Order: sequence, then C-alpha cells, then structure tokens
Amino acid sequence: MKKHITAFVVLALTLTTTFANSSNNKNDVNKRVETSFQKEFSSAEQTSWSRVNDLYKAQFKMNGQVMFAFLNEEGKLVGVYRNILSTQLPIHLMSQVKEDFSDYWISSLFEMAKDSETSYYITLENGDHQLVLKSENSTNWSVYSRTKK
Amino acid sequence: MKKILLIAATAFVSMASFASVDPVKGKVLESFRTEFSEAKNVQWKSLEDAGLYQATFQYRNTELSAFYDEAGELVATARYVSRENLPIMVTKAIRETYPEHVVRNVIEHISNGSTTYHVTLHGEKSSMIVSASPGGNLSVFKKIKSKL
Repeated sequence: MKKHITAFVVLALTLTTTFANSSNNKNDVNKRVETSFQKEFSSAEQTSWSRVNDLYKAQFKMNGQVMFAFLNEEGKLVGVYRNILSTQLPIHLMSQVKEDFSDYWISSLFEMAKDSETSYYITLENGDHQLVLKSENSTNWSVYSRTKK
Repeated sequence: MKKILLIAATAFVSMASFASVDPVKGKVLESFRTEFSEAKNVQWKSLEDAGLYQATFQYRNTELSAFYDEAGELVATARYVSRENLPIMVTKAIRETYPEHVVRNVIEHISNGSTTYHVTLHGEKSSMIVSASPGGNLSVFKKIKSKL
C-alpha cells in the first residue's frame, strides 16, 4: 500500500505539470473500480476515466471543483487530489511560502487526501533549483525533495 | 477546551462588528508586532471571560483575527475563507452528511498547531454550525431552527 501512495504522490506531482500516457475509454474501467468510486464519491459529477500505469484515474467535479482520484485494480482508493491556488492554503502555509521563499515562483500546488489525512505539496522554482515542500499538519512545511537544475 | 470554544464562538460574532478597547500594551502588543509586522487597520478587543485579547486586522489580502493570552502568547488565529478553501475530505463529508444544506460561511481556525473549519450550513428546516477537521471529521457546534 505504501508503494501505491508513493506512486500516487509522484504521479500527482508529474501530472499537474505534464500529460501522462493515458487512455480515456470508460469501457476500460472494471465494474469493481467504478462501483467503489461511486460509493466513495456519491456526489461526483462529470466523471471521466483514464489509466495511468497500473492505476485507474477518475477526473470529476465535486461542489464545482475539479478533482482527481486514483484507484487500484481492486477498487481501493489510493488517494484523491486537486490543484489549488496559494490563496486556498491554510494561512500559516501561505505565510511561510511568502516569507521564506519570496525569490521562488510556484510551478504547482495541490492538496492530497487519503483516508482522514490531508496534505499539501508545493513545487517552487528559481533559476537554480526546484524545491518540493510537503505539509501534513496544515501548519508547517517540510522539504520533500530538492533538485538542482 | 473552554477557551477554544469561546474563540470559535467569538470569531463568528465579532469578526464583523467590533468595539474597540484601549490600545493594548506590553507583551501582547510586542508579540503581535513581531508576528504580524505587515498588519494594517488593527482593532483590539478584550475577551474578559477567557482572559484573551483579540486583534482583527488586514493581513496579506485577508482579514485575520489573532487571539493572545495576557502573557503575550498567540493562542489562535481565525479568518473567513471561501468554501473552495475547505479541504477535499471536508467538502466530501459535508456533501454526504448534509446533502440538503448549503455552505454559507467558513471560518478557518488554527490553535495549538491544529486547524479546524467552522462551517455554517443553511437548510430549509434548520441551519447549523459544524466543526470539521482537515480530514473530514465533523461535529455539530450549534444548531439553529429556521423560522417558519
């Protein structure tokens, strides 16, 4: 399961900025996955399916917001995420980005949920580095990865 | 716990209407200026029952309330946010638990390092305020019967 969560985070980080090799054929989704999704997100609207590696990805709207859920072949929800604006971050997270990383720009920002855990991932860049920060407590960031360009 | 509930209740009542108190001095003011150096249009209020001071001010394009104890310790912050700020699991839990209700107001309340969302829900028969953890655990904070 841990492997799937890690894969999901990596996918979410990648898919927010690039397109993955995916297909959009609804018939590819097995009944178990679809039933599980409907049970989990009964208020989902405008759902479309694609396949990303060994996971099923559902794009849908809930309360007018676009979200993405990943489920495995057994129909188990691996995670759900949505892209957000920095103004949608909890105040302490937004303040820390503005204070501590004022010389970086934001290249992606998303909220990820799994079971009853909510976390935020932000990708920051400057001319030299790409930095991914993660917050699991909605109050502080920690460095998830740092890459030299 | 009593203080947290009082802060939540106060946030609903006093973020819109305000009665200023004498300028706050000493540790509280010092602490506030250090924490929120960019604050504008600051108004103070004393919450005598809880032994707290509440500052409401403009901060980075948002109106924020900060709550301090008499020793100048920041004990909580609260602000109105839009319903789009609610985490996925909170939106999901509210849609599933209260499908007939509409989200009216949302307060993001942070104290002791944890975030709580106080959401006002409006329904035909009743309205209520529910408190939600970022993971989507809901509890009813207050119920209000709609007038016929």
